[in-house]
Amino acid sequence: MSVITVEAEAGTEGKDDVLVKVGPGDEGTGPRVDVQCKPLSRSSIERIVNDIVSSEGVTGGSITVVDKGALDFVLRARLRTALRRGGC
Amino acid sequence: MMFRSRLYVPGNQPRMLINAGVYGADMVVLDLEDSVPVAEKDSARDLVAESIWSLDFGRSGLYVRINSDPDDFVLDLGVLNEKCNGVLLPKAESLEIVELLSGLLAKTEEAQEIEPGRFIIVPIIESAVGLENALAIASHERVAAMTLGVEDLTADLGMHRKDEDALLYAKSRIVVASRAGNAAPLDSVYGNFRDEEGLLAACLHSRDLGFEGRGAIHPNQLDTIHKAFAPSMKELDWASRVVEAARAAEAEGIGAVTVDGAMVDPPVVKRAERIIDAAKAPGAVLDLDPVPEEEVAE
Repeated sequence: MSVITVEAEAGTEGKDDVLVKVGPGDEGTGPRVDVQCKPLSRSSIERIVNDIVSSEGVTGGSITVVDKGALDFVLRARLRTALRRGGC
Repeated sequence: MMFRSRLYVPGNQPRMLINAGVYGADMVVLDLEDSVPVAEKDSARDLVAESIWSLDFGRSGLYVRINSDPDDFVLDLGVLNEKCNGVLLPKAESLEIVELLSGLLAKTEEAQEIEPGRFIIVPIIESAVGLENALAIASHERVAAMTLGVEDLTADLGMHRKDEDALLYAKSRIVVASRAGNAAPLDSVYGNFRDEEGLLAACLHSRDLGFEGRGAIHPNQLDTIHKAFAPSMKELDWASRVVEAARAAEAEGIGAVTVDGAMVDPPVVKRAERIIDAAKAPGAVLDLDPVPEEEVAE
């Protein structure tokens, strides 16, 4: 189990990329996730975020995803980087 | 394993990674070194690792240019999996650093149950010390090809010019050391990706010196590189006759044989076999003749 302890980010708002911001928050209920994207992408992005959060054992904090058309592998990479930078 | 072209792709640029495999480069080189800012190295490792798992790189061999400092390249090797063919080691200066890297690659192969020796090393010579030690470096069993980095090398040598004449000694040294060490000599990149004519001339010069390929910083350089390093039909015809004559001579126990009036000895046969191998390469452009016929060596 791990929590996000510091504010951090990974990625960019450039085309085909995604910006992931993380920060500290309440522990125990899982991180609060905010996704900013085109409507059709939302469920896919939320599924990937949940998968990564679960596999990394993240139990608290906040995650903001600003998608600019990134493929799944880009989102997974940016999430892993942001969480590690955030202290997970 | 073909080395005619190697396309460098910045490891921190999703857009470029996505398309890297569609251009038909012999080698796609996912870069964790100079094209990635220091503060983004960790992010680039994640992105490159995920891209290797997720993307189809077509017929291209897949390579990673790692960082030169062992503290960094230990981390870089974490991106490798069985889809990868090897790594490019920048600023290679000694056999010791190649041996260190080889040991780490062996551990990676063992941990992932990958066939031992799968990951090859392509050292990039970028200093006077590296150039002096080029033969020892090229002789390592994992080194299948070797190249040079012109920017760093010319700076280290104190050179004021970077044109082909000024670089003749360094490039020839790479070719000689590579051949002596049983590695393929590969030329550096051609920096101006809008100058197709200049690239073709540079590639033909590379070929004349003995190089087997050239680096590309832009996909639009690949066709020209493949064209330059493809054998002409006349070369292929000559090579086929040489190999056929050599085989016939061997079968009949004849020591000496000639083709087109010239003696065919083992080095000539070896050169002919290289030409045939190049002709078999995917994407080889055999209907074009990049070399004027009168310049074809016989």
